[in-house]
Amino acid sequence: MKTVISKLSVLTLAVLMLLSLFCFAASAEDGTAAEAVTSAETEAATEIIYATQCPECAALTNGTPYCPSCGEEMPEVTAVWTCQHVCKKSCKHVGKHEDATPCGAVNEGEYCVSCGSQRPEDESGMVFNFMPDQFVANLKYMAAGMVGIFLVIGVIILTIVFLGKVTAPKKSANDAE
Amino acid sequence: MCILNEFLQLLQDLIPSDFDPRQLVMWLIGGVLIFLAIKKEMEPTLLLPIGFGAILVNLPVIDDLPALQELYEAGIATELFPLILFIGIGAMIDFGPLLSNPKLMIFGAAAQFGIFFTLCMASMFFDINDAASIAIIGAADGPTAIVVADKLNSQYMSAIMVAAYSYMALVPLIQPPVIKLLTTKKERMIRMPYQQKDVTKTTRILFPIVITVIAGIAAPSSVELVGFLMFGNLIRECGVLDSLSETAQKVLANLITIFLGISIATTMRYDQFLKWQTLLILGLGLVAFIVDTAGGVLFAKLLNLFLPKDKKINPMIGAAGISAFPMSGRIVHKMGLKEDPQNFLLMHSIGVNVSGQIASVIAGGLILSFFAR
Repeated sequence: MKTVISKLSVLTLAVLMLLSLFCFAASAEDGTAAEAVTSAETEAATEIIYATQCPECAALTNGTPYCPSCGEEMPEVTAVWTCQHVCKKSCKHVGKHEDATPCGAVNEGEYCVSCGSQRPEDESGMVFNFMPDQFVANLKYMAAGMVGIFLVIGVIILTIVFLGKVTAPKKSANDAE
Repeated sequence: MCILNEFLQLLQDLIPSDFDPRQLVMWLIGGVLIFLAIKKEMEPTLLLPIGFGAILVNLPVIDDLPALQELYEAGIATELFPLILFIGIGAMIDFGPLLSNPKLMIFGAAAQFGIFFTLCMASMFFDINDAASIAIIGAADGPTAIVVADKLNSQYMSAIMVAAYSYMALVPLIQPPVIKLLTTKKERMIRMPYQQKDVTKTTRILFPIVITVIAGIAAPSSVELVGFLMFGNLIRECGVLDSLSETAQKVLANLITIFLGISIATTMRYDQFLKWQTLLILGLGLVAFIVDTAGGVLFAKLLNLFLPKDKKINPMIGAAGISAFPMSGRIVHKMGLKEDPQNFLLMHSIGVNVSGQIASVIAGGLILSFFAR
């Protein structure tokens, strides 16, 4: 009985922990966009990107570390995002693009400098990207992984058996008798 | 009334302006982890430092902790801590039961199914690198999870670590119901007589070297993990480095564990940890452990279809193929004793359990070979 109560208390604690996480995450404000970056953004953010407009003289730069006009050091930009906008039916460019590919421009502001689309909502915040087709698409990794692991372990088993045979003490004539 | 207002004003002034109520939740989570570590003795060596660290990094006045950050950069970002910890783990493991019955290794491989199943599951919600990092929770092996998540640049490192270590501690609660669900009483009562076979010292010494070479050739991405694990084991088995072996098992492993736990906690800032994804990762981690267990048990049942009646395998030992060492092996042994007090499965289950350690590292290497750039 005591064990059951103990186990139940652990589970209850775990559930409480999860619930508290759940509630607070749900009530969290959307102010974490800077921290919540997608993988592509993380990649972009790892490089040092400098602001493209000098805060001192307002001159436009080409992403250089120093302002070409006044020589002031340019501030680093971290909250960058990569535009993934793909032209669809509602896009004004419909009919002009043969292959609709993501825009790909790296931006600092709210709107893309290339296609003008708005910065998307924080993807790692409240909304999940549910992609059920990915389960089937990645079954190949499951198959390759299991085959690979059985192969490697198979080779290891054979090697151990071989090692055991090679290093086994030879039976003397007396033992054989 | 005026005094009350002043008192409230004073209280308001005392609360730092950058205080976020979510920091309070992180203190609570840190407290729960410390409670579980101390009161329930659930992986205390790691959950306690992680719990304390979670409180430390979420203090409102603390904007940056340079020392901890340095520790993280030096030990986790470079994967140094988990790899060094592997030397200690290698020195702790006796591969004797496995070497005397190498066929048991096949269950270690089967019990990694949960990793690859969870990879597919997680890919429905996360990008593939994060999904792979989450899937490796199923390796039931903290250092492997850290190395894989770090190499794949996962942004959910802290959630993955907490899930991995929590579920390792919860193995005694997770595995028995799954095993019972998948086996009949008759199957659980299958006896497996253990024949003691002497393993020569030469075999014990050659084993870690050969495994490193095979892993290096077959799964190059796993060579660091396997190499450090096997180096630790070589120190143990060579017989001339007893003091080094003892240091690796105790002092080195303890020292690294202290730094590992507290360094991981630096990633547990409220704004990075309190996300819906954390809940999902915890859920997927549980799926990984359950499917791992089921994979091992069902594989043993499959083999039983082809084995003669007197050579049947107790399917419970398949569940020991996850690398939560030695808990998983002991659980299977205890369950066997519960069904039949004369059924001693310990040597078999521990053999499978140590093979799970090797298989999980190789699975980590395979995941890296698929996805690491």
